[in-house]
Amino acid sequence: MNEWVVIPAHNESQNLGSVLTEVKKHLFNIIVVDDGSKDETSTIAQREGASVLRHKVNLGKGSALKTGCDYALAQGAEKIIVIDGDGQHDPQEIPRILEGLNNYQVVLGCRQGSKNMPLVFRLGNSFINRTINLLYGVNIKDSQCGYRGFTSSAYKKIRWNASDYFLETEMITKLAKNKLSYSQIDIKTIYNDRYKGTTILDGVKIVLKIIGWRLWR
Amino acid sequence: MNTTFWIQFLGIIFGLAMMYFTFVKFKRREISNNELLFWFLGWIVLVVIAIVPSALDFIIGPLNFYRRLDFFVVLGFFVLLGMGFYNYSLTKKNERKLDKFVRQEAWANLSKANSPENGDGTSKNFKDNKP
Repeated sequence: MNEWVVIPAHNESQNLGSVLTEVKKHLFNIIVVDDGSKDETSTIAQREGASVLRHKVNLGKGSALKTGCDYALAQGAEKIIVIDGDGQHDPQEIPRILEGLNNYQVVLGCRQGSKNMPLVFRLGNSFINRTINLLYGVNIKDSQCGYRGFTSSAYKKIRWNASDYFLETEMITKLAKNKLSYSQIDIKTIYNDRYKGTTILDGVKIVLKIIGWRLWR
Repeated sequence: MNTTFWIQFLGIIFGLAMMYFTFVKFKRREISNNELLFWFLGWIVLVVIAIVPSALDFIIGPLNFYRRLDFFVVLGFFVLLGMGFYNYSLTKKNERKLDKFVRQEAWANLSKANSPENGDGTSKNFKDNKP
């Protein structure tokens, strides 16, 4: 099986090395997409033996992942796993995701409720999940988790246009519209000191987009 | 001095200032001859209307606006909305171009790194980011 891991990274020199060390225990086909980093992200990724695609300017997580996934597909990938480069996701879950992809087209990670996650984000995530489940007839527990796996055929159907953090939501909406089979696995989440994810305003925009996509797409 | 005078005065100052800025852009070769002509005509029309507001009465009359100023406010909103949409679509277009260019270059550079002699041509498989 041709299995690949795609890691988007923007100024992740602090965490990327340890993430790659852990990932290599499970898979060797690793693509790091350096999304316009100003630090040593690319150097560290190359040192760890990953294929490095470098965006000269920061385009956003969605574009970075798309660059990596397209490249994996061009290399003949049959299964693709996407994982954050900030160390938030535990690479030890990779075998479980790969196993899930034997029976499902998409495997979604679900973060376990963490006390470290600010209450406002927990409430925001819950609201986004409820909205997406209601409008698309799915039962997603964590629509914003970036730890996912999909088969190459599924990727062609869920390939997103979003260049930023809307990609996770767009992926779910396309998954629902194309009626792809999916499973959800609970994953551990490690929260670092600095928060780089979505903001409250992003949450509001995501909900508005979900409604817009439902109405016009 | 009545209120209309000051509105006219500000209109003239604004029009002249914009003519100056347009000329500066032209001197820096940021806009072409035709663009200079287009914008200059626009600003001249604005200044003329500010000096002689009655010049537009033949339009304002049939449209039943109570005051000339009401007409300018409505017209201003239309122009702003139109320009807002134009700028939005232009920004989106440039975003897509930049996205495509940066991603394509990332592919090409990795291809070169993978096979330094002649490249493996992987970037030919690059997909455009059309929505």
